[in-house]
Parts: sequence; structure tokens; C-alpha cells
Amino acid sequence: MNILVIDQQLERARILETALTALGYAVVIRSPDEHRIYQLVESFQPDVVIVDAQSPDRDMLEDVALTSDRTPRPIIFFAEDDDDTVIRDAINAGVSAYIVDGLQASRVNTIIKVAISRFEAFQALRGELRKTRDELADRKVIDQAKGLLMKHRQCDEAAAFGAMRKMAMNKKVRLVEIAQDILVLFDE
Amino acid sequence: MSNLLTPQGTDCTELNLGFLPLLDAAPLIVAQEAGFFADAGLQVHLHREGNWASLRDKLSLKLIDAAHLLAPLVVASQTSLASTAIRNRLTTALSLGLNGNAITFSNALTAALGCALPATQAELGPALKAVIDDRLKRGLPKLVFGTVFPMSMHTYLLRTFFEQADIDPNQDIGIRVVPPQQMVGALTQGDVDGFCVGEPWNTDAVRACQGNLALLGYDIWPDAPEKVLAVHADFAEQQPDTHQALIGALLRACQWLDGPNSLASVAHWLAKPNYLNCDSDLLLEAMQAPWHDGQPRWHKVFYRNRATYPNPDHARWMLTQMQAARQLPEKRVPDTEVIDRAYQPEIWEKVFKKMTTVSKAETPTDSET
Repeated sequence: MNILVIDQQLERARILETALTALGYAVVIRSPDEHRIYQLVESFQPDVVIVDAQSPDRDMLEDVALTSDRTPRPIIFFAEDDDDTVIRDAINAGVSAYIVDGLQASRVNTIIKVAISRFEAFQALRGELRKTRDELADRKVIDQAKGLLMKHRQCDEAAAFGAMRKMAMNKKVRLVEIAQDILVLFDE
Repeated sequence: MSNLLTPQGTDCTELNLGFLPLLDAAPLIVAQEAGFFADAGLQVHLHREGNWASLRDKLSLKLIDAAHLLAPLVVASQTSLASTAIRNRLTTALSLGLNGNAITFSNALTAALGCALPATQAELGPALKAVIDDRLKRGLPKLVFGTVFPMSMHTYLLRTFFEQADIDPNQDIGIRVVPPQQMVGALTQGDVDGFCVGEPWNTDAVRACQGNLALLGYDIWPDAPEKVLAVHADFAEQQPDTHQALIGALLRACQWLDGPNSLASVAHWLAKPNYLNCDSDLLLEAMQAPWHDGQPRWHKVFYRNRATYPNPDHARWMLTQMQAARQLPEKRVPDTEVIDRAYQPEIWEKVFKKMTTVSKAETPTDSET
């Protein structure tokens, strides 16, 4: 797993790097004079970005998270507040995790794991939504194809549906793919 | 005025306010330095933050009480139907002035345009469109423009400018977030070909001979909204007196900012290390230098033209822009509800009325307000 660390305090970043590398993660620290954060995200493809809460780069990461639907990344950041309720609230608010100042190497792994699991839960929810939407879209295509079959073969609904299912089984493809073929065939 | 606007009862009067080091944070800094907060019975601590996301999160998590924030961020906070978002809702009852942004082009893009900068929008649009079409034909990468945050007036003014020039902001160009303080560097390194940002960063690019002022935000939308005083919805609801006292003090600051002889003091205060931490001459130049039409360069108004009024029409426009930029969640709260919750002009009216009845002498000369 790739982890990108963005921190204005290089010393703190190094502590994190050592801890994370020991845990088997691939770590890249963004150097302070490096402006090209978009390119860095593109080339390194981090799974997790750990960023200093005060870093101006956070606004860029917001943009990356908003625009790259394909490869979203949990964002963890350092907080000045060593307050458990703040951390909990932040996590509930969708900020994947807070790491407080004076971080201990032993805590890093736990926090990262929590962050990733929160993030995956969120992704799963988004995936579920997308799946339902796709299913709905499939339904519409199938209905359209069924209607076309009924019209062209002058058969009833059950017969049209049965014919489509049989084609799908014979070809070992999904029903929606047969429906799409039918739409193309009748040039709709 | 101070007596009437002093919070009473159990309201907490010690407040933490966040800001980003930009010229339009001036009302907060002035209210602190000129003692307007203290007059209103408020003990305010100003916290400089490093980015907009952090300001938004700190407000949502109630780590700070109020912030100088991008107006669209307040509107966006009210759009989501998600249950986690409900506790993070922000609201505003005070606009922190109008205008103040400008678009700067890199030297390379300026040269390619073949027209002198600054230009009118009518000249600039077709010239830029021609450059973009030519790049497309020659297979060159898209031009990239910097903004300060996805949901910001900077993004929406850029998009409006492109659309008016028949350039598709979703297709023909790229828009990327660059923190204001890194804008000039990004322009110099060629990461962006232009940007839309507030002051003093446009003036800074011109001074460093790294870019050319192309257009003012004012040219795209005269008297456009920009930043607001954002608070958590719970704060507005639970501490109405403190909220109004805060707005009262900032209204005074805005009025003072638009008054005569404020420039030198503003530049002096804002330049301090704990605020903008920059050259006060740069700030003066950014505030004072006239534009090519002879008008004050930024047309930044803090008080005149109802500049402090949280106008619900502005919130509506921002929602339209978010939609066009594909920034809104799929399942979202109806627009009218979003606007009602995000913008609360009735609170502003209450405070404004109190102010004007208490001190007729301080009533603005502008009849509109």
C-alpha cells in the first residue's frame, strides 16, 4: 500500500516515514519545494494521504478527492488538539482520521487501519448506490428491448421475455447484453 | 451603539475566529485592532489558518466560533442529505464585502493572445478562444487555470468568463486548485497558465514580472459576493445575542474600511506578522492602484452598495454554478431550503436596524443602504 505524507514539519514526517516503512508501507514524502501535487498523486497513486491540517495543500487534495472519482483516497491529518471527542467527531464527519501531535509510532498503524476501514465503509455505500443505479438503467434497457421484440415479432410480453432469457442462457451472457444487442439490431 | 449590541444573559463572550491571510479578512482584523470587538463586549482571539478545508472543518467541529469563509462553502454545507452532514451545517448573516478577485495570465499565454493586457472582456474572450482552438488543432495540452478552492467564487467567475467566451469550462480547459500563496510560483513554473485569486496575489505576480493582469472579477460580475462571516448553525441558534454582537462589530469595521483615510492603517495592521505577514507597500498598491479605466483597481467594497448584506440571490446563483460544475451531491436538499438555511438576511436586518437607530451620525451616506 502506498502512503503519501505531506507535512510542513519535515522532522515529524521522517518519524512517520520510519514507522510506516517498518510496517511495510511504501512511503513518499512530498518535499516542501514541490508544487506539483497533482502530478505526484497521479504518478505515485497513493492509497492513503497523510496531510498536515495546516498545510495549504489540503485545499488541493479536496480538489483531487472531488474530481477523481475513480481513485479516491482517505485523508488523514495532524491536529493540534489532543481531544478524543474531536477525533471522533472528525471521523464521523467524513475526515478519515485525526493524528494528534506528538504521535507515537505504535499508534500510527492502528489509526491508519481505522481510517482505511472507515473509508472502505463509505466507499461500499457509494458502490451500493452506483449498483442500484446501474440495475435501474439495465431494467430500462431490458424493458425497451422487450417492447421492440413484442412489436417486431408480434408476440406477448411473456414470450418476448422468454425469448430474451433463452438467448442470454445460450450465449452465456447477461440479459442486459442481449437487450442491448436487440436495441442495436432494431437500430433504436 | 456598543451598549445595545453588547450580549446579555448567559451567552459566552469569549470567541475564537478563524481567517485566511487575505486582504478581505480586513474586517476581522480591523474590528480587533480598532477595538470594535471590545466595544461590543467581545473578547476575540483571531486564528490564522492554512487552508479553507481546515477553516470549514474547525467550524463544523466547533473548534472555532466563526470564520472568514468562502461564501459557496457555506451554501455547499447545507446541500447534503447525508445524516453526517447535518451536524456540520454552516450559516451566515453577514457578507464580508463585494468583489476583489482578478484573473492573471502567464507571460507565455499573454504573448500567445496577441492583444495587450489588460483588455476588455469583449476583446479578451475571442482572443483566448482562438488560442485554445489553435492548441487543440496542434494537439497541445489544455490550458490550466488556478483557483483557490473547488467551491469558490474564483472557480465560478472563471467558469462564467469562459462560458461567455464560448469556451466549455468542463471540456476545453482545466481548472485546478492552487493555494493562493503558491499561485505565483505555480505560474512561474508553468503548472498553470493563469489564475483567479484575490489580492494581494495578482499584484504580487505583476510585481515579480511573472504574469499580467487580464481581467477583474468586477468586469465579469460587478459587485459579486466573495467571503462571508460563517458560523455553525447551532451557534446562530443557541447564541443569538453573541452572534448579533459579532455582526455589529464587523459592520462597524466594514463601514470604517470604506470611510476616508483608512488605507494606511489597514495596510499597517494587515501586514503584521500574525496577520498577512507581508510587505505593507504591496497591500497599499493592491488596494490603491487604479485600473486601466481609471476606477479603483479592485472595486473592493466593504460597506457601500449593501456589501455586508447576505443576499439570498447570491446563494441561488452559487447553487446554479455548483450544479454546472458537477459539485453537488446526487441526493440533495431542495434549493430553497438550502438558501434559507445558509443565508439569514433577517439577522442582518435586525443588527443593521439597531446600529442605524443608535447612531444616526454613523449612518452611511449611500441612500441604498
